[in-house]
Amino acid sequence: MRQTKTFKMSFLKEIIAIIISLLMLIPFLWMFLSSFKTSSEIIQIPPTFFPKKFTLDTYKYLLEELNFWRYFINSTIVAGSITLIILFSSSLVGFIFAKFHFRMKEILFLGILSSMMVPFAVVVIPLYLLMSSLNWIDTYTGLIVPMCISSFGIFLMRQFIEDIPDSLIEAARVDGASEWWIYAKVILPLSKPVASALGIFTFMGAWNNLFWPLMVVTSPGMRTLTLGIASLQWEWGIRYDLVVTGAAISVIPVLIIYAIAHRNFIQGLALTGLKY
Amino acid sequence: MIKTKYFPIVVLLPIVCWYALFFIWPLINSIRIGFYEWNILDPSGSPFVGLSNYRELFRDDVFITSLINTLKFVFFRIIIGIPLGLAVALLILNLKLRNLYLGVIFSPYTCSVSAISILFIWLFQPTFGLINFLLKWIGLPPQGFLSASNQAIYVITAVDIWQSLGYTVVLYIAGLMEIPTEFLEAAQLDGANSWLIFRRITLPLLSNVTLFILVTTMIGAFQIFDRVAVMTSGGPGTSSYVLSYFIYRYAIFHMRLSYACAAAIIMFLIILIISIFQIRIFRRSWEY
Repeated sequence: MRQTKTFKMSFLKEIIAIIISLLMLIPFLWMFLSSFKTSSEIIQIPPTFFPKKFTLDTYKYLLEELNFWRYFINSTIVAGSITLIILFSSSLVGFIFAKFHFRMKEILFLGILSSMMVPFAVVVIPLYLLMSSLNWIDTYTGLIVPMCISSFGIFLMRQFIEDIPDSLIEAARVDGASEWWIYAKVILPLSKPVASALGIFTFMGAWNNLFWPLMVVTSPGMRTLTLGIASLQWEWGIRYDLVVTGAAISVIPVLIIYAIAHRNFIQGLALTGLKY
Repeated sequence: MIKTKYFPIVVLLPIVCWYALFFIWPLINSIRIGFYEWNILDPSGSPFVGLSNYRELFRDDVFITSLINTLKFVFFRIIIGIPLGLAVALLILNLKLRNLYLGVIFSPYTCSVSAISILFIWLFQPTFGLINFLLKWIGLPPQGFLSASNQAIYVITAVDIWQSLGYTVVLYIAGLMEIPTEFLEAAQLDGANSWLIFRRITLPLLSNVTLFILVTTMIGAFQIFDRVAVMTSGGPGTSSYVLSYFIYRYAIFHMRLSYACAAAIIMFLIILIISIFQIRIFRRSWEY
């Protein structure tokens, strides 16, 4: 009796879980299928599920005529540089705050923590004015440098490095190792799991960022992919074929990486939440 | 030994300089500019106007709309999004295919807000969109969605909940897996029903995860920008303006930097007060 009841329960749970998964998947599936439709089929009533006439013209037009290749390269350069610098700076500064004692340590760390509470919109205007007085408007430097330190990253790395036993560091010091050597050969290898989580989410955040590129970029050639598709919506909003295919193009690389490394994404976020 | 002593300073000096230049200096300037009528061509000649920008903001219907929309968005995002995430986490926790479901549910979160927004503009399109087609098919009247000024902000909220569901679910699953099964088994042996176990054991043990989700969701939701910028550009009219978008529009389109900075400072104060309040309440009621 009880057995059949729990069996029914888990069957019901399974059905609900499948429905939820479909609700998450169908919009994507619909988008990919529609990216192969012609401009008239995509706005047809009633909507078609499978494209009647399969065409790659929209992809070609976006990549060749509307410069989407260039946006893709810009995004890779900007998000890649930001990720590398944040990984390096966060692990190094996290190491300092976790394992060293020095004057003003507490107040500095508190300052870094409280900076996380400040919304980006609060500093964005003076930051924009600073960019224009440094002549960094419409440059990679302007896109990268103000984004290349992360308070959250420093905090996360410190939490993790604190758990590395002091004895390992002491042993290396006794052997005459320099602090840089200890950082590179002891701390970095041991903080790999958290560093990979930070790397994934930093890259994702930088790749998907819209606000800052929107402020800094003025010429179409400097657009990132995210700014590129947003601009597509603003400039070509009525051409649903272009806009939907543009969204598909920007999502494909992310979803491919996610499909390969989804475990790292999920474990990384879980680790971050529990380390807080 | 000397090397060890100077190492922190050598590393921290450039970091402190970065914070001074790209964080503290802009923050101070934001406060300062808000008290002036800033002239971008001649900053030193800008007149000091005291609180007049702030007074004007509270008489400005667009600002009030932005403020109310932001609060609505944060409220529904939290009050619907977090319990929904917990419910889904509990639902899939013990299923055999948990990791598969988790992988699927988390996937929209990895995509950019801009791309997902475009996808949903098209799905919610009033005349040929899929959602109105489905509504008509089951016999309900079609809706204006993003083109209706009384619906736009709710559509935006719903899409945000859809895209961020995976974030909440992953964190709750991680939190649930940390709970030792002995606790739950002992309670079951004592004859506690599942609701009681949930209220008295699961929920209190999840309070740290809940606090993390609550604070990160709230700070993120308050800053909502991309979704409004892409889905509606604040429209129809100004009906879906939010604070970040207001700041952007007034700084870039209307060239009123001082006015935008004053709005930014108000936004900052609201987040500050709510965060402190939130952490306090949580500490008092759930930590024992």
